[in-house]
Amino acid sequence: MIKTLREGFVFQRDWTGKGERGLRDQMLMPAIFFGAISPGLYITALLTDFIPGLWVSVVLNIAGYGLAHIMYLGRMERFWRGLLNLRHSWISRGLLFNIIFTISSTGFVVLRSMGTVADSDQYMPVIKWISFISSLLFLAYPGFMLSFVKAIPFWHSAVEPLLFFIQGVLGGTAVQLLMGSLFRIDPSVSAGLLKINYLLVITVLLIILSALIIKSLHGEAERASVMYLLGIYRGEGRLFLYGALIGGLVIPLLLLSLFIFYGGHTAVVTATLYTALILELTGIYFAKYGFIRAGAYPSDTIPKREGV
Amino acid sequence: MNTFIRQQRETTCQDGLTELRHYGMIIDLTKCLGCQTCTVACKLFHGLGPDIVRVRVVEQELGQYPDVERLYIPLRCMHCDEPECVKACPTGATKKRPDGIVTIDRDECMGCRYCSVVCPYHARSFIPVEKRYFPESDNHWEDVRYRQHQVGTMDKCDFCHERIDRATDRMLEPGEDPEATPICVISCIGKALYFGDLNDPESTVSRLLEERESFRLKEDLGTGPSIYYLPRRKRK
Amino acid sequence: MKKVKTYCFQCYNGPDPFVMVVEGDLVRHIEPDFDCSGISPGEGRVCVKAYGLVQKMYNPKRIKAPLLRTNPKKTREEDPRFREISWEEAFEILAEKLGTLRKKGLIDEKGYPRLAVSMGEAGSPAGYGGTFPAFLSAWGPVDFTLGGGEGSKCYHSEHLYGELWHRAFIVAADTPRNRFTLSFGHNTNASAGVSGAMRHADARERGYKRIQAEPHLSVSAATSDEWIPIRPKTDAAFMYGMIHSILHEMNWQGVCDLDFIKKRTNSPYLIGPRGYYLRDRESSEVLVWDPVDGKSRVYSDPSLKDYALTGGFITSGKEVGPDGQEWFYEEVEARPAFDLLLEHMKRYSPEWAARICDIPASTIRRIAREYVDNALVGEEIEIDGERIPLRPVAITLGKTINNGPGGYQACWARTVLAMLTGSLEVAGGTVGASQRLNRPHHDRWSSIWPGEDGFFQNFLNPTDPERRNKLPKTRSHYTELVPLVGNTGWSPFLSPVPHAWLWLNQPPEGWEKPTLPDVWIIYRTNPNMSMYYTDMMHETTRNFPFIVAFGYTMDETNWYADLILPEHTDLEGLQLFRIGPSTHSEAYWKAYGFALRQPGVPPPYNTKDMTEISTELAVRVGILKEYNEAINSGIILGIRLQGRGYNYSLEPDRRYTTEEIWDRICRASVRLLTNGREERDLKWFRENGYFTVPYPAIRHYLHPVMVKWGLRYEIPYQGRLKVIGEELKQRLHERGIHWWDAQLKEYEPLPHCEDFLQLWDEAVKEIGDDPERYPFYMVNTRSMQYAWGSNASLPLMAEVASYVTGFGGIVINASVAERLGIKEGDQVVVESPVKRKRAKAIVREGIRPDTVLVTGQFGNWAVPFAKDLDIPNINEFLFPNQKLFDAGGSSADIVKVRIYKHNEASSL
Ligand SMILES: Nc1nc2c(c(=O)[nH]1)N[C@H]1C(S)=C(S)[C@@H](COP(=O)(O)OP(=O)(O)OC[C@H]3O[C@@H](n4cnc5c(=O)[nH]c(N)nc54)[C@H](O)[C@@H]3O)O[C@H]1N2
Ligand SMILES: Nc1nc2c(c(=O)[nH]1)N[C@H]1C(S)=C(S)[C@@H](COP(=O)(O)OP(=O)(O)OC[C@H]3O[C@@H](n4cnc5c(=O)[nH]c(N)nc54)[C@H](O)[C@@H]3O)O[C@H]1N2
Ligand code: SF4
Ligand code: SF4
Ligand code: SF4
Ligand code: SF4
Ligand code: SF4
Ligand SMILES: [Mo]
Repeated sequence: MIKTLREGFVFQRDWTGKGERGLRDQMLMPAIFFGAISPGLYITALLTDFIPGLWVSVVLNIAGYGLAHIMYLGRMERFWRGLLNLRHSWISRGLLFNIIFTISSTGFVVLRSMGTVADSDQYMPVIKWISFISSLLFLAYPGFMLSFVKAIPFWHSAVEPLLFFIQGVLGGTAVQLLMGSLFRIDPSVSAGLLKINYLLVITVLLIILSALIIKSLHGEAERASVMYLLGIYRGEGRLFLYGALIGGLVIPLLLLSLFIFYGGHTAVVTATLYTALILELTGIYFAKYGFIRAGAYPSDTIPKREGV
Repeated sequence: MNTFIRQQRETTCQDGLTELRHYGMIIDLTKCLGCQTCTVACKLFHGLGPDIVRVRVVEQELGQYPDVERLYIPLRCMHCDEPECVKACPTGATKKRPDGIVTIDRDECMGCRYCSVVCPYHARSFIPVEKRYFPESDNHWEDVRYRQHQVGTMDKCDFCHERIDRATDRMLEPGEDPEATPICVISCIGKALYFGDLNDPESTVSRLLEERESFRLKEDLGTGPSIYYLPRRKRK
Repeated sequence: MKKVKTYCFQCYNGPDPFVMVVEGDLVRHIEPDFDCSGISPGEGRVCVKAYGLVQKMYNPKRIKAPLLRTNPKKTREEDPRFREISWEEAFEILAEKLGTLRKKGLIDEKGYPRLAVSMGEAGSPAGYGGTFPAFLSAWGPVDFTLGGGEGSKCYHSEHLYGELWHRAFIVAADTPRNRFTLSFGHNTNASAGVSGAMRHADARERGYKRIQAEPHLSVSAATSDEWIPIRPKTDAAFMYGMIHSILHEMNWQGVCDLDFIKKRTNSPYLIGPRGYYLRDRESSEVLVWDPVDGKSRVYSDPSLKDYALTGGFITSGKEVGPDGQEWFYEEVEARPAFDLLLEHMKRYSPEWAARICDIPASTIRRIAREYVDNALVGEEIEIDGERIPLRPVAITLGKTINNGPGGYQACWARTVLAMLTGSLEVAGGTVGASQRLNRPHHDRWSSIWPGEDGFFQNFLNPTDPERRNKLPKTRSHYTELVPLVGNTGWSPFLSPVPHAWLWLNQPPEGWEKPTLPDVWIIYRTNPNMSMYYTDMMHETTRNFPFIVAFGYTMDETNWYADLILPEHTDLEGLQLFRIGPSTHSEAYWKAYGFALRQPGVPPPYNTKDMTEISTELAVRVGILKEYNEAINSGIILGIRLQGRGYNYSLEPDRRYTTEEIWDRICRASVRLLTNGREERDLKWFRENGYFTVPYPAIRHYLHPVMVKWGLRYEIPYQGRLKVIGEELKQRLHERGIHWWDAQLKEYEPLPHCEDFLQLWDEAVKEIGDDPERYPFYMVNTRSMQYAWGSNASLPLMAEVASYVTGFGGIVINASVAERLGIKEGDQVVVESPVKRKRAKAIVREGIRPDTVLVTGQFGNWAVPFAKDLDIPNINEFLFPNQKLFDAGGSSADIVKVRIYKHNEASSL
């Protein structure tokens, strides 16, 4: 604390620090990761009517996001209290979106899979729409959550919601494409998904790069965050540089380019595709981890002025 | 004290309402010497275990040798007018009272730490596990005094509101009567801390704000802290 | 919840009254005691350390019952295997041991007391030891000179010369009235307790100016208006430069307080050609020159019209030298002391000082100017109806400035600067806080009586052949070596204590090797950590035949004990103690009297009160009668139990309970304060905490009493020291002792100044090493959170101390660190010619590039919790060298070291 005060900024440690509760303190990042992949996949799967994808999304949401988040809480048994402050708290609302998403998506997937109720049933579209909209809200909310944090200027911008949203969809396409080897997907659909995926990778890369450049031009704390992410700050943050930027975006981009432009169907080429997709997913994790980990508060510096 | 306010005060004291007040603190950076008496007095009074601090006095070194300065900056919850923590807290455990004091209800907190991340002043400590200064041995004092801790919840400065509430019931004036004043304020050996009602134009805190230049930390965020700092005075 | 009044005396700035709040059988927390805000200089508040007392009391790592060593082999590595025993058994063992001593004789074959007792913490055991002093007094001769660093490592020169010159064991600035303080390492924000912290905070608010000259930006420098990063040990040179600037660059007649110089100092005293005071041939009174009448007169002649300060005058007279040797002159040229001072200071220009201090000459000049400008020469102020001069400038000196070579020079220069502005012992200036070598300890005014040559009396150790060998022997031989320290209760603590330790190993040529004490009692001191040369200390103490410790936790000294008796700690014991009128530091009270320390709840462990222990021992050793009589006679706090109209005396043969004893002392104390009119018993004190009577503020200044007796301070010319030094030299040379010659050089009437720091380089050379290898000076500082090492076992203190720079490692300059590739938090190796240790680097801008800093008194390996802190202790790195001692036998906490980055290869 004292040390960092001298440096003019303090990194947040509440969400990514090595806490004293061991694994439980580390559970927020998996929660946030699955909290992006799950609705992302839900959206792509819903739009392509890919039922196994919907199932996976539901499982990732409940087991990945829900459980991890609850485990992260200091008082798990009080998790329900999180819904009590809808009037004031964006967090509370985010949790509400998740609950609605959880219920509606589960309901939809179960009903859809049982096939007992026809698509034409009057309730199905309602449930479908509720789940779709709540998945969008749920997907966007962690980004909004960050951007609401005035205290951390690095987060406090419009980039985060956009980035987090797109990353979620990117993750969704990646998972669905990966699933394509196990479940049969219409080749035209997967080709489309792949193109979308390809474009999203480029978009994310551009967003991140421009965000880093713009933010590095701002205050000291933001610069510290950027330096951290580029591994310049004490060599920390290399996971972002190598894991998210190079490994998670640049390399997949190159591999996908090979795949898309040079095509073919050999095993090597398929392996290249899967490698790229897996790298994308780990990249999303590292990117989110990095962004959150790098959140720095400007220190409580006494404003510089006469006589101070 | 202004008679009108005094009258209002008396009624408010009696029925326990506090709307007319706005408690705040003034910290004179000329007088603080970084001794940490406030820190330890608060810890002892509130029975706070290892690493849980409600007020920290941090140092800030400025400049380069040989033109170096060092400031001591006591930091505690700013009892913001627009508290980020209250806006974040999904359970509503963190509340703002009408008299400006921001409190945490231990029984309602679920330990999500959102409040902690959003607080621009690092004013909050999470109690992650049951911790002792003497972990291997039993210590009666720690057993008794830490009973109030709830592992997995948040802690922060509450302006010693229990002292204030208890005392205002007895018609004592916070900031004037030691019994009704936060423990850190009455313990400070630099007499650098002042506490009182910012709404009362004749309170010591109001007068100091009137007479001396002051500033608040990270004012640009619009949090509206109730803690004011009087800048360091230097004679050249 | 119940409130119990008590006091804290963990450091000598107290006692500071406070309240413990008790809930059930638990001390819940502690609070200030605002009832005494009107009388206590700390306004009833207590510092950070006092809040540690609760943890201290409930510390499960305390010693919870008497301990007996079962492993006869005393080594640092081997567990002493202490076994818990009952108090009955403990008393039996100890009484048996002490009984044998009494049978064998209190003095051993070589003439040393068989019992040695060490009490540390600069006198604070007095606030805890109950009636233990009565036990020691009943016992008979005791050697107190095997001490733990207090005295010899403290404000050593200030203690000795302060008492000599103006009855001030410790001096302080009169901060509330001060306009300008120049502090050389006087670390008030860490070391001056509640009152010091508060007074300086108030003064900052008011807008006084404070300049801190110190090699690093201490907590005190941080709140000062200016930090002068002075080279260590060169403070005297800085002040010499200032004196030069005032005397030779300004119009000194215009800026100095001539009235004060002429009337209150020995400046006008004529000095003969041999350097002694020139005296009247018949009356032997010192002569001065009356420029109006153009002739010499004795200084006390009422017909004197004025005093000459400059010039040379032909007159008759005599000089008296060592051993009464006299030189008579019909006609001789004599000069006023001041004239010699002018000449003496010529060579010490600011440019000369600048080279030594590494501070620009212009800065020295500017500060000299500010100093005289702020002195307001000529102004007066009324205090308690009395008009005294107001001279609001002061210079204060910290610990390392005060001890070792250069200490005398610094104290002298400081006092000369006070003299020039007339700011000595007057409002706003430099004011004594207490005296300890002269009695009564609690009132400086009453300790002043006219002595020789127009100065007040001082009782120095005789340097004549007859009397000097009759004094009782101690292991530091202070009566033989340090005349200045005198021979009173506090003298042993200020004696050449480090030498006592050195000699137990290896006495120098022609010096007898002292015997080890048969029994060594240690109480609230940890010499093996706090004395210099830690490794040597261990080797010495582990060979002591029988060590008894009154203990709190295991520590590095009682590790070698045979028996440890755990006493009640601060919040558990019962005793009365003096409060006010002033203590060691800036604690000037508005009242004085007595305060009670009392338990609030039953003690949690099987410990005992020091009074109970003392009484029990007195009974068992068979000295109950002497013990009771000692109490009756006022050995405790100077309170006699019998006086006009009251008699609370203890019957000699009756055994009294602790409460009974204190009840009587309480009653007698109030009688004493009220001239017999009032009485308060223990019960009253339990409820009310303290009883005081007002103390007039004017009595804090010596000035009125000096005027009343027509006395002068023996400054600037050290006529008496010159004689004493020469006599001492004779005595030692007669015995063929020459190893004290460097120290004897200090007995100069006008001390010369040099670059004392280079002595530390020479010392490295002398042990065959190369000073170039060690580019840094290691210095040491205090922190507000710690009372020496005594509360190092409290994790709570470490937690709050960690917010303050310096705790937990070694502070090094940022650009130097960068050059060495060292980053904040890195492990580095610190190496002096005798020691190599690992430490954590703390990288800061606020320290000289040639200096590194450690915070005081850690390095523990036995004290629970502290032993895991891994903080180096400067004492481990120091090594003895006779050159590094001053005439009082004190050296300084400074040593040359090198520092490099720790890697796995550096086998540490
Ligand atoms: N490195 C270094 N050494 C120094 C100094 C420095 O600044 N740095 N300063 C020097 C100076 S100025 C001084 S005055 C001396 C002081 O040095 P010492 O007089 O030796 O004082 P401490 O080291 O504090 O030792 C006090 C001991 O008392 C024990 N103790 C604590 N509380 C209690 C209690 O309630 N009861 C009993 N019976 N024992 C208790 C502690 O365990 C500790 O071992 O040190 C000198 N040595
Ligand atoms: N909190 C607390 N208060 C205490 C004590 C305690 O242990 N704790 N101990 C008491 C005792 S026994 C004593 S003796 C006093 C000591 O009181 P101080 O002397 O005021 O305190 P220190 O911090 O030990 O040392 C003074 C400063 O001098 C600096 N210094 C070192 N060498 C030099 C030098 O050559 N020149 C200059 N200008 N500065 C130098 C050191 O870095 C340090 O910051 O404190 C007393 N008060
Ligand atoms: S300082 Fe932080 S915890 Fe306190 S009210 Fe403001 S935002 Fe909330
Ligand atoms: S940790 Fe507790 S107080 Fe903080 S936001 Fe969560 S529920 Fe609210
Ligand atoms: S106001 Fe009370 S709770 Fe807040 S820091 Fe001060 S003592 Fe602690
Ligand atoms: S007690 Fe007062 S002077 Fe000491 S650190 Fe706290 S605010 Fe500053
Ligand atoms: S200054 Fe010394 S005596 Fe006073 S409260 Fe602090 S530790 Fe105790
Ligand atoms: Mo000391």
